[in-house]
Amino acid sequence: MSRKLLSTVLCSNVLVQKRGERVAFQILLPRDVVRITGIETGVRSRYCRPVVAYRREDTAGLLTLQASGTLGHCYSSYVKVDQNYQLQQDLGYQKYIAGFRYGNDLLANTVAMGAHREPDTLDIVAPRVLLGTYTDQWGDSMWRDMAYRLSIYLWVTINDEYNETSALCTEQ
Amino acid sequence: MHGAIVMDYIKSRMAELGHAQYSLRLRHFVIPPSGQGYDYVPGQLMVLVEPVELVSIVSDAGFFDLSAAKSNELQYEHTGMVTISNYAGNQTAHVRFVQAIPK
Repeated sequence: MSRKLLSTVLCSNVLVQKRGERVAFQILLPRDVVRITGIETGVRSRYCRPVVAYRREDTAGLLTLQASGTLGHCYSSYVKVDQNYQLQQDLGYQKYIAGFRYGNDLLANTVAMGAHREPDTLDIVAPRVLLGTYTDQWGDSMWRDMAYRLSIYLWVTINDEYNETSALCTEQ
Repeated sequence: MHGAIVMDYIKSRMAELGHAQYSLRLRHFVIPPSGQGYDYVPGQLMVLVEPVELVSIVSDAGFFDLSAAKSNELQYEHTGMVTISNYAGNQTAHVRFVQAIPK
């Protein structure tokens, strides 16, 4: 049986609610995942309306990941919240049309819509569990409890042979 | 954490990391009031033996602070640059670790 390798994306969410909060979490990877090739992060506010900005800040926090069975981090990087800064312009909206009555600082600090970013390269053999820690800095810089959802998109390679073998076992 | 649990944990963790042979050291840090202690232990394990109050431990692997309500989980295992801060203004802190050094 030939080995079939496919690529897909796994998504995991982390909820941040308090200023300076430090969230520890675990991502359980499916057994057919053989390699993690990239990582992408996104931030989405949980407020229904834009947050009044204290000042302009595009760093949401520090994300670190550790593969189980190893020592040290396999990924450590700051999560940025600069996506919708360009998106407003892409849509051709003026701030009044879009319903925002505040200045550009506000638009830069709210996360109303998603946008695309290039994934960071993270080429490691997939562990069974990925241990993660996220430390909020956005709330500290904004001087308030920022409630938002951090989405982690893992670009992975899966070995489809595993699923075929499982399907055969199920049929029998 | 009970001492026996620490030893069992270190044994399984070092086996998981691929170190069949390793040496152990008992470390007892004495941190003066409002002072800090440092140690750099790359590739080694430092496991906290017991929870200590009014002390913050930050390392490459984790964070331990009983007073901080901003974290949903605390780590007993530390590695890399370990920083121990005592923020009790009038009390010396005693922090005990078991250190595992691969041979």
